[in-house]
Amino acid sequence: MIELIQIFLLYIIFSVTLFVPVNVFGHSLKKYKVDSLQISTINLIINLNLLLFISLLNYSIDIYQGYLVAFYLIIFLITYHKSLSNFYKNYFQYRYVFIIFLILAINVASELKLGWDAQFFYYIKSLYFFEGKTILNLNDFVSNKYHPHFGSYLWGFFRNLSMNDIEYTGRLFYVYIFCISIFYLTSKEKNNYLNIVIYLIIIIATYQYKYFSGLQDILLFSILVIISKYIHNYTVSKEKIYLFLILLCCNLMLWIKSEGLVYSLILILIINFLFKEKLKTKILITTIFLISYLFKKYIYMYYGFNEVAQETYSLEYIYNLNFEIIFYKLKHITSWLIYYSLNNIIITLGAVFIMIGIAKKYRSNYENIIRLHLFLTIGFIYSAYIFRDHDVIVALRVTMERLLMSSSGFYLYYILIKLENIFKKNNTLA
Amino acid sequence: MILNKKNILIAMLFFYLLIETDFFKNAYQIISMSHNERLIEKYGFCSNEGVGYIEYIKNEIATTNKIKVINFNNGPPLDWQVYNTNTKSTDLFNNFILINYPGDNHFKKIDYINNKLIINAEYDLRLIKAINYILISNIDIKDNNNFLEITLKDNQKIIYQKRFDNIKSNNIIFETDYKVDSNKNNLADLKLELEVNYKNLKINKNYDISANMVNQIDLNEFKIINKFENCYFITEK
Repeated sequence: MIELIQIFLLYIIFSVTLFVPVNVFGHSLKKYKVDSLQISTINLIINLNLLLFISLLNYSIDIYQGYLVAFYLIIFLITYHKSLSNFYKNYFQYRYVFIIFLILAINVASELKLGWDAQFFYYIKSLYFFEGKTILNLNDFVSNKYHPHFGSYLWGFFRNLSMNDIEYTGRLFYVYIFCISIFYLTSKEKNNYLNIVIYLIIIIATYQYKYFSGLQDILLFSILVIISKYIHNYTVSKEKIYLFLILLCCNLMLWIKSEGLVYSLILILIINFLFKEKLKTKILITTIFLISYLFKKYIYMYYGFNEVAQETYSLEYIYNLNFEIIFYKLKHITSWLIYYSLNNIIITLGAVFIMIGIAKKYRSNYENIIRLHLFLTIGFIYSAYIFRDHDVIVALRVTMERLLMSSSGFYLYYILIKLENIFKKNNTLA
Repeated sequence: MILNKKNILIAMLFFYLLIETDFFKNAYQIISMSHNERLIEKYGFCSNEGVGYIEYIKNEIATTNKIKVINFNNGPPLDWQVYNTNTKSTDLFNNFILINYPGDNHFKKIDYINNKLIINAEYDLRLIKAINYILISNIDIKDNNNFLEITLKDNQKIIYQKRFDNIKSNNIIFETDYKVDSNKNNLADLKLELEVNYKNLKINKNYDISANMVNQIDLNEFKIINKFENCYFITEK
């Protein structure tokens, strides 16, 4: 029973990340035509970036966590003490998120098993933060070099907030981000009933325990889900705030998993080639991204982390690739890509709608963005496996499903828009 | 009205999700079983990953937290169960928990993956000191004018090669003197591959090729502190 109460309390703690520092009912961001839920996601992104920054300091969680919680509580009270009734009303719109979170959290609390990579890397890294060590101490962990630390930091940070220190409590934050990202995607001011139905359908279609077994791909998926809606909002409103938010999301992905760098680069390329912005703005965006990437490099150097993240990639191997090997790899990558794509409903539907769009010669900016993203993602998948000095079939079997799952987050909103258009058309015809 | 058409659809979707995620069983387990009990149920006590045994040793027997776990089943290392963030990567361990320990030496089928016979460096070689011999069994002899040759390669470098001509027996043993290089820091660098060439014989590469391996750990060299089935907690003498 204590564990159930703890899950409930953790939900409340996680929720705080949505409501501060920016007042969701305030007028500070209203000029950007963002609604309260959008401000909530902005809060989430800001708070995650803040946690990321704190995680880079050589201070133990035990030293600052109490102050941080108190600080957030004070900010929360200052922000909402005059509009508590409004807050309750707003909080009530998250009731479905709470129910879904509860169902999924109980599944995680019962399944318990950690994924292979979670046992190898992520759990042990989270243990460092949970046990009061800092990013500097990660040097003592032999496998530290393989992936960035931020997902593990979140795991350790939120586990440290739980009453009984049970391992899975930290992972519940992954469940929370997943629930919120899908909720944000499906929310609209009108048509509340349909949004809930779609929300539930997406959760049913995408939830699998293995994605929450301590692996980091679900974090990338959730962030890409949020980014996809930001991008659509940008194409509609042209508000520059979305560019800034996309950059903040890219910064998070850089610190979650190696693939995060590629997903971020793809987004920066899309901004440069397809966003209708002044050259000055594009240069600024690219420069900020480069600075955040170089900052990561600097942090790695500062803490003496080994920068060779993937030993399976080497120039020597790439130079020695011959046509026979490339053809062999292409053949297998293609067949496994088709197989896993067909098993991933988002990728399958996304690809179908993109092909229909190409056949019908749709030329909207958003359509082009989705096409370029898919093209670059497929290019990344092929090159990642071709240039990797590893048994290609073993690599494909072990990693491709997760790679497709994490990248599929970007196409979810596109699919929703397409389905909405189909329903609208049918209703008009009827 | 609470039960209108819209609410029924939402309720049905919720119900489907509840069933899909085993909500009621899971909720009951969380209420009725402790976290440790659930952990043992999922990972096994001395079977599978043997997490239950590790927890038992950690909580009831061990007086040190510098322990290394060796799991003789295929799977990731179980260090995460006993990982001590105060230890350095260069620290040496004197205490070991052995899960699914198969004896001083044991047979293991050699994996046949992508038309290659592979002795998995990461999950086999880290557990052994040497390979005594390779056994090829259930050989179907089609003609007496036959031969069977095996070649053991480490990253394309031939480290052992032997050939038998005119085989009459159904089982052939290739004795090797292969020893794992314990100085090699990264066992993943080892790519031990077995090539089997033959003529006028029929061999099922999927099932009939195995290796007799000498375990890295010889129990005679250690003091056994606790034993349960084939799980051990040992310390250096």
